[in-house]
Amino acid sequence: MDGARERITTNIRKGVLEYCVLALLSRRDMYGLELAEWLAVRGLTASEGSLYPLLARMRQAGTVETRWVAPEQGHARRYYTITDQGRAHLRMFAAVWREIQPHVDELMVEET
Amino acid sequence: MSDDGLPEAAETYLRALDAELSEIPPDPAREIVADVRAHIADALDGGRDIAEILAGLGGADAVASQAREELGLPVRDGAERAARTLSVVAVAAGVLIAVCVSFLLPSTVPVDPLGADSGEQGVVRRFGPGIAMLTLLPALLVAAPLVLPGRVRGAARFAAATVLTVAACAAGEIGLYYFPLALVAWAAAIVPWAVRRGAGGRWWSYLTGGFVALPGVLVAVASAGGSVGVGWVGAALWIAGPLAAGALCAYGIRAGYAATALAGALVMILSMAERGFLFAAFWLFGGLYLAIGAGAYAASRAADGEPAGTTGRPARTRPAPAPGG
Repeated sequence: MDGARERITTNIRKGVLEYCVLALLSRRDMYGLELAEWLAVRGLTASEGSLYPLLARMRQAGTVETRWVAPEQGHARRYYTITDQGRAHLRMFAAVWREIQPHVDELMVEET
Repeated sequence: MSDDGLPEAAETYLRALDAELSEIPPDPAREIVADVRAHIADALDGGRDIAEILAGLGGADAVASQAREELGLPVRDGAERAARTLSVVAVAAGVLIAVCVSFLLPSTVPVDPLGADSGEQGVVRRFGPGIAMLTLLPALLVAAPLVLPGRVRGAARFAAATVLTVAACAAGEIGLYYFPLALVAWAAAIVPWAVRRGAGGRWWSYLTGGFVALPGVLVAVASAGGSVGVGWVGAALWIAGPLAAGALCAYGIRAGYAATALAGALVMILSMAERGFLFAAFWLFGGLYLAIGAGAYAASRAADGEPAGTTGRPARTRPAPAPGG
C-alpha cells in the first residue's frame, strides 16, 4: 500500500514540479536553496537534490536563465530567472490545470 | 567556488556526485555539481547540520539517476549491464575456444589431408578456413543478444544457452570444448533474470563460496588420505587457492568473484596448453569457475548499480499499478 502511495505521489510530482518552479520564479528570482526548501517543505519534491537536475534541464530548454551573484560577504549564489518562453509554458500549464482540476476534484469528492 | 571550506562529508558527497554524473554531458553535470555545492554552503550558513543537509539532498546516485532521466539518457539498468558484461565474457571465451579447436587440435577438424591428392589441395585449403569459421558459430550465438532489440534479448540468452548445451552434449569430443561456453551462456541468461527478481543475498554468497571451495576440500581430503601425493606448490595451488577464493566469495567480496573467474580462465588455458590425462576435469572445472566467478561478479555490480531510493524508475518501465491493491 505504501509502495502504491509513493508511486502515485512520484507520478503527480513529476507532472507538476517543473511548473511550480516556473510559478515561483514568476514572482521573483530565487537561488537553489530557496527553491529547494520551499518545494521540499510543501512535499512537492521528494528530495532537495532532485531539483537540480530538473533546473539543468529547464536551463537547456530555455525556460529559465541563471546568473551568479556575489554578495559583499559570503559566497556566490546562482539565481534563477524565468524567461519569456518559461512564462509562456507556465500560462499553458495553468490553462490545462484549470481545465482538468475541477473534474478530478469532482470525482474525488466521494473518495475522502 | 571550490575554496568555500565545506566539511569533508560535503566534499565526499560532491566527489561521489561528480563521479555518478560521468555519463551525462559535461555542461549540465558541472551546473548540477555547482548548484549542489552552493546549496550545501547556503544551508550551512543558514545553520543547518551537514548530516541533515546531505540527507535532505538524497543520495548522490539518486540525484544522478534523476539527471539521466531529465536529460533523456537511458536509465541505467543494472540487470542489463550485468547481461552485457557476461555476454562479452561469453564471446571472448567462445572466440578463444574456437581458436583452440581450429588451430591447437587439428585432428578434430574433419578434413583428411591423406585423402586429398594434389589437385584437391585448393579445396582443402578453401575448406580449412570455412570449417574454422564454423567453430566461431557458438561465439556468434552468444554475441547475438548484444545486438538484438531489448524485448527479445532475455529469451535469446536462454535460447543460446539451451542450444549450446544441447550441441555440446551432442557433438562428442568437440562438444567438450564448448561446455565452458555453455556454462557462461547460462550465467548470462540466469544472472540478469535473477537480478530483476531481486535474488541475491547472504545465502547465495555462502552457496557460491562453498562451491568454489569444493575442489580445494576434495584435494585436501584426498591428499590427507594419502591417495594423492601433493607437493607444497601443489598444496598451495589446489588447496589454499580454492579455499581462499571460496572464503572471499562466501563473504561477498567482489575481488573474490573476479579472482575466481580469472583462476577459471587460467586453469582452462593451462589445461589446454598441457593436456594431461585429467584434461577434461581441469577444463570443465576451469569453465565452471569462470562462469560462477563472472556471474557472481556481474550480479554484485548490478546490485550496486541499482539507484537506491529512486522511486520514479519503475514508473518509467511499466505503468503504475492500480491503487488499492
